[in-house]
Amino acid sequence: MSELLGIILAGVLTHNILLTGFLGMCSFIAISRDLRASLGLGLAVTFVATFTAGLNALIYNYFLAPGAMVWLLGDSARSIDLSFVSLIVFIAVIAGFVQVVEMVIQRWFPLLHGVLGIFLPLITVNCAILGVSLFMVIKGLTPFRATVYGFASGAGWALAIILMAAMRRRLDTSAMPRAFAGVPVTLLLTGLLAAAFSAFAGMEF
Amino acid sequence: MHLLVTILVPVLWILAVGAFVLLVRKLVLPSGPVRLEVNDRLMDATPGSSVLEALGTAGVLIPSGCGGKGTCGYCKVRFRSGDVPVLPTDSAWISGEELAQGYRLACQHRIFGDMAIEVPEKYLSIRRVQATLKAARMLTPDIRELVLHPDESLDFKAGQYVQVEIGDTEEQRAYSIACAEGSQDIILNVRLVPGGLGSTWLHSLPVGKSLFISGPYGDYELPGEHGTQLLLVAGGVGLAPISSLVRTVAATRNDMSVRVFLGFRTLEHAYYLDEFGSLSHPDLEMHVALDSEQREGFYHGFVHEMIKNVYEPPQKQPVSVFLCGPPPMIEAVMDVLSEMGISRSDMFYDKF
Repeated sequence: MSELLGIILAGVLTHNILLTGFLGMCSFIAISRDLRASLGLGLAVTFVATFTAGLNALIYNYFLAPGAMVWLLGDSARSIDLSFVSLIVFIAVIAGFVQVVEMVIQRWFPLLHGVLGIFLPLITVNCAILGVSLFMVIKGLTPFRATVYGFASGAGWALAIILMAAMRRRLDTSAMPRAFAGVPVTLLLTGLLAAAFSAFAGMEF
Repeated sequence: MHLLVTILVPVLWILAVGAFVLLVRKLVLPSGPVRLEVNDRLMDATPGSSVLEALGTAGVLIPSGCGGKGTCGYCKVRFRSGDVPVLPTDSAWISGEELAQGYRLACQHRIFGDMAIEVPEKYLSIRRVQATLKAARMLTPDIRELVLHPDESLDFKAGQYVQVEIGDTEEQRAYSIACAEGSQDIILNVRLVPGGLGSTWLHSLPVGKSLFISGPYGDYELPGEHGTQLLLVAGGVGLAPISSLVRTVAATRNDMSVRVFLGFRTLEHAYYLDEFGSLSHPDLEMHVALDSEQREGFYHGFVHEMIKNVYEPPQKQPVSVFLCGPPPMIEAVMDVLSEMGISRSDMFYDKF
């Protein structure tokens, strides 16, 4: 139990995928302009990260990892190592999953679909999502823990974009030198936010 | 054995993902066509397509300038069911009052089940027809007059426009109709825009060739009130809709008084002046300004300056204004006219 809590705290705070890994920056910069859209995209990314991490971990642990297919093919499979195709399979799973999420959102949540627009299908190539799947392999997590890890990382990403959107709301009304307005000051703020989050770095769970 | 497994496992997984997506698609979208009710007509629509696409497929052509991106605001229709969400693209073009009445942009909403919408009745008369280029001539060094003979006549009103499909491309261009109401032929004035796809094609189109047009589009209607003064202002090729209005009023509305103010660069760029001069109408006045050339009988300067100097708004008659030309001209003229006490709500304009 405490280990799961550790995974969650690490994903959200100490190893926040956006603020310490700087993954998923493009939609972060683009969408954090709007608080409601940020909330929606944050939820969508969390949802996709949770399920793709779990699915990919299942596939990796039972099919792709070295000797993983022993349960299926018996001892002769001990030498089969498909981990070199895991990148392709992960990407296919993520793309398919995003497609499904998009269809569901378009059908039942048209407002959210209108707000997210092109950034919804772009979750497919959101590096944070693929990053979660790849890190989970490196960390050697079981499918259940990978799911928790995916959720935590997605939640961390959502936290970061919501924080940024809230800050940018104040920026909109503040006097700003023209050279800094828009993306530059957002990048600066991201840096400051990352520096603040690095204060968590000493905590090991 | 190992090789087989190595190839099969990843391929199977990728296929499984594809199959899953297909399965969800089947669940999310109703199978078979759904019913779209437009005013009182029933038509089939493909689930998942936008309302604009479905209307186009069913032959109801409503105006759309941007091709479904939600950036022009033309394809406004009313949804009868009240629960259609308001998208940011909707609220950018539609007032709060109209949103509450159910108006949305047709290109931004998709059809997932039976749906009822209302479009302005006049859109139902919009048709896409094939037309033959019957005759053409150069009116000025850069404006070509095209006389199109449509296979089926379009029932247009003066001041309306048609969309012209440019050859084999997906592109369409809007051109005002320049001939009088009731004409079987459609006359267009096409100014050659250097490097412009549509105007270059239309300028090089040989007589006898055919093309597709759809229409008529446009909201302007001649005021019905007896004795209204019609104030028509055009700059350059903005003369096209003004020409239609002048000819129509000369033929059918002797009760109106007509004041026409035209602006061109030089006399060489002016056209239709002789034809307007030979129209018989009891109360038609025409004033022409040339801004880059001094000529006897013409005002030297811009059209808004000419209006300021020579136009006097009538005291009792209602006035209806139609402006067509480049945006700066329209802004300037509207400023001058509102200083004279003419309300902006009586001014109809077409900027290009």
